[in-house]
Amino acid sequence: MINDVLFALNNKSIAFKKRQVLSNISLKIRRGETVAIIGISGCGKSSLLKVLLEQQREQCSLCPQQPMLVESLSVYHNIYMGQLQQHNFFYNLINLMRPFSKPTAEIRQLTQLIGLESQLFTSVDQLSGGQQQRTSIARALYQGQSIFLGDEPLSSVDPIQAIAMLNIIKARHETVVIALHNKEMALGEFDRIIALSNSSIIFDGPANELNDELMANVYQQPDKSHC
Amino acid sequence: MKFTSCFVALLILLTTLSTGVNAQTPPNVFTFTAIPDEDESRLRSRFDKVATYLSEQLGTPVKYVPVKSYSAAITAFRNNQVQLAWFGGLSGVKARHLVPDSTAIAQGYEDQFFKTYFIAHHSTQLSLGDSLTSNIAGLTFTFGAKGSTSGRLMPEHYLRQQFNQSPREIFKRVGFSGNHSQTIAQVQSGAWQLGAVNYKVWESELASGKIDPNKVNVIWSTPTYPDYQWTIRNDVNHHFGSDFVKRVQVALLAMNNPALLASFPRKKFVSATNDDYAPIKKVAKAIKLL
Amino acid sequence: MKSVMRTTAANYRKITLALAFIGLMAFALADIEISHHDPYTALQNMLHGLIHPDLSGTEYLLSALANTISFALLGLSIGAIAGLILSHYHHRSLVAHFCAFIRSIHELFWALIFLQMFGLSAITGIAAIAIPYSGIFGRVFSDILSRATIEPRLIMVPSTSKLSGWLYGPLAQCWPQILRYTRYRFECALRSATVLGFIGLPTLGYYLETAFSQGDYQQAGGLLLLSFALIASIKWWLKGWLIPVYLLAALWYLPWQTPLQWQYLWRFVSQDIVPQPIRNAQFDLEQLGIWLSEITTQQILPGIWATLLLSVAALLLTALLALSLWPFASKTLVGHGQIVGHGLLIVLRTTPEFVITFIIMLLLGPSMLPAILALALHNGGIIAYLLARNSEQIKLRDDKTSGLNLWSYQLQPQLYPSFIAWLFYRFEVILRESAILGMLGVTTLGFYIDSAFEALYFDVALVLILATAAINMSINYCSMRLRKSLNVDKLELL
Repeated sequence: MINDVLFALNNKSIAFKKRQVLSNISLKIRRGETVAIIGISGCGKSSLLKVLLEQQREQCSLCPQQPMLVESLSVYHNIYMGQLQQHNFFYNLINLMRPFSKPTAEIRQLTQLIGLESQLFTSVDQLSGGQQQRTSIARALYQGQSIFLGDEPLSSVDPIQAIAMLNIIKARHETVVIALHNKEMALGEFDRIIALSNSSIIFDGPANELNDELMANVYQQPDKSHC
Repeated sequence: MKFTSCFVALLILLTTLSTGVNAQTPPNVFTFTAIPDEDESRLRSRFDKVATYLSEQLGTPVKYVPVKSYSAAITAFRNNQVQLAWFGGLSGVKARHLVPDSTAIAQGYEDQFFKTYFIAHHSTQLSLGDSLTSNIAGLTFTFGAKGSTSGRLMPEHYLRQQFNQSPREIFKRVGFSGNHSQTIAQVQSGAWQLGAVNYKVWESELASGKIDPNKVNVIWSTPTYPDYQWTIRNDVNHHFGSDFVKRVQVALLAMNNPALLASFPRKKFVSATNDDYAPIKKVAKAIKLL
Repeated sequence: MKSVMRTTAANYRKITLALAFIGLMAFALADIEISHHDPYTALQNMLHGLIHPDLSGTEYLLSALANTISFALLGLSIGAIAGLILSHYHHRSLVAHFCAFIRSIHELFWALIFLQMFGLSAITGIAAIAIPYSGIFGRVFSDILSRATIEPRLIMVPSTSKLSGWLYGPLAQCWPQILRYTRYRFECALRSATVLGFIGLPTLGYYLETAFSQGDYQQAGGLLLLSFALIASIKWWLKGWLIPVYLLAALWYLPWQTPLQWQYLWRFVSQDIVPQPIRNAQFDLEQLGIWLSEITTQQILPGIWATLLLSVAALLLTALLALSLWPFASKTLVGHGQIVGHGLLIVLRTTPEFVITFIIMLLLGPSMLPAILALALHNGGIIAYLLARNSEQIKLRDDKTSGLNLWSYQLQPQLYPSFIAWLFYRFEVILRESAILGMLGVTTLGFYIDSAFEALYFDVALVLILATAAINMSINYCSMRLRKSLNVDKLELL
């Protein structure tokens, strides 16, 4: 049973740039759950994810809010970066100049899945915002971890594609924790919702238990500046 | 705040710059210079003493201005920024060419029969001879300063005389070390195989132990020629009194304090005339350095 | 399956390969012989001097220090003000070309020219710094101001005068960058003022040159360390509110005593620099043609050839050095170990090329190699410093890798555009500097210019200086086009 708990916070306060964003929160996330973290921007979603990442660094694939891609390099290389640690430096260096066929085949398959196959060897600076975000997701997928931690990973992707991408993410990871802004998607696609407001968790439970009144609270403007 | 301080700075700059340029001291200080030559260290302190001596002898304020190159000395003389200069043979000829109303008034005792040594690194296996050996062709060779008499003009003259070719054609590589001390140091270290050097500098460095005879040696000494001299602008007679040129000459010839003479370094000064340097002028014209 | 890369990185790779190819060609053609038999004694003496610096033998040391600062401060201030005015009109091609022209002539050559007109006076030193610096400031300030997002006409009442609109719009917005760049240039101005001493102005360089040429390495080491300290401590002694005080002190201190004599100035302009065949009102055009073609074939062409060989070879080495040195000064890569790297880079970029060449020449003997190495060490040090500083500003993911992987996949590719831009910009600087290394005997254009000044052939010197300016301006133009085509022309240049 104990092994099943991946993340656990107990009365934890979280600060970002010396400003407390979350105070005394407690939560547990078990293996196999798909969790959406919702709340208005600035309420501490990213900080919470950061703390979660620290708890399971070895098992997490991360997809940050800013794609943080290397713009002059190709989609292929940016995705390949997900597995840099698994090869020695000289393999990586040669691959930088002449892609090896094995990772090329693997990554080509991934780009087929996310619809970027024709841009495989195009540099990221020539892509649209949505395409860049899909590249960033593909990079997380390529890491092949069991946990996916995403911070608004789909904000620039169009809604129809977003659902498809989310399904790919869910299919390839045992546990999925995603911070997002889109409440419809959160309600429709996740088992569990954690809602943040006024530096605390105001709701934590199955998606179907979240009613409209609570939802309105989540998206209400904070009454104090500390959120 | 930074904006304002920059503005204040600008105002100050503009107003004082205009006054600053005009704030000139009257040209009633007799000024002299000396071409940089052998020992440049503490040059100013040493020549300040010469200035003090001249000031005492002449009863006029005298100032020494340091220069870095032969051409700077000539320009300063030409523009009346200095009225008296200790020139080399070639720079003196050039200066008197540019300031027609100027005269050589004194030279060092040794300058009546000056000479250049050709020196070689030991790896060349050349040794002292009565004439310049033709085996030097194809080696690397350095002059001293570009405008030097003993480090450039006369050695080039004798090279051309013997080989009928320019130095660039004779040698594999030709350079200008900048001054005589550098010529010795660089030939001694093997950077250059051959060099031409002022014999006075060679002898004083040999005496002070800066030269390792196992590494570098003299292979030929040129015939003698006139070299360094004091040259003065004759228009000083208008500013400082009608017999000022004469008085300067007397003061120079009377200089007998070894500490002062060591700056040049000469035993004593003897009188000289423009005509003494006719041979230098002829050679300079032939090599197109005039 | 063969795949074609359509990446921006591939373009940079092509440029890099082209650079490597041309650089290697230059190395193959250049004279890089090592002809020293016994460099160890010299090296030992120099190291000994650096470890046991001794300034007690330097006369007038404080006065040299004050002169150095005064020349730098006054030259820089005048240059910055003139540059600000020029930048306002820099969009006109005439002004842009004028700026390019005055900055393409090295401050040492300006100083040699003014030396003929004003002698060893304060004006010579100030003007020699102020003139090329106003050209540089004109260009850079206009670059900075053109990036201002505030369009003055949009936020001001239409009747606002153009100048106040400019003052409150772009200028106010870019003021921090302008100040920052000016402060960086002050460092360069101190170096320039030092170098002016090599031709006789009473700055630190005067004694530095003497010490080196006399082989007095203890004194040379002391003076070098002093100039490092002077530059490294700028931020402690140069405060905004102190600048007016310093300026006043500088004006009061500098040697203005040499009287300005207009007849000599006029003689220089009306006679000395007039080509010898047409001097004295005899317009012998045929002779002029012969005179010009002689200078061209005997001095300009060989000079340009040597200058280009030297600069291109130095550029390749600069690139290699910068790429291999910056990681050691980057906090992102080596953590606190960066202090060591930074120390090395400070030494490399604050030692004037002239001094490095001089030292290496004593060690390796006369050829192009010392100059190539010196230019590469100095400029490589500067680019490495900029790369290291920029690498610390790159945002990285929380799950970033480390070490060589981080370097090769994330940092280096992101830094490459800036690297290329700085390299091109530095090529112009290398070209300028390679010309003056001619004064040390490398047969670049500067060698012939120095010889002409030494022989008092001012007409020849002027033709050679104009040729140098022409070459620098055309290279500058090519490099600008190339930067534009690579889309790296909008980066901040230092």
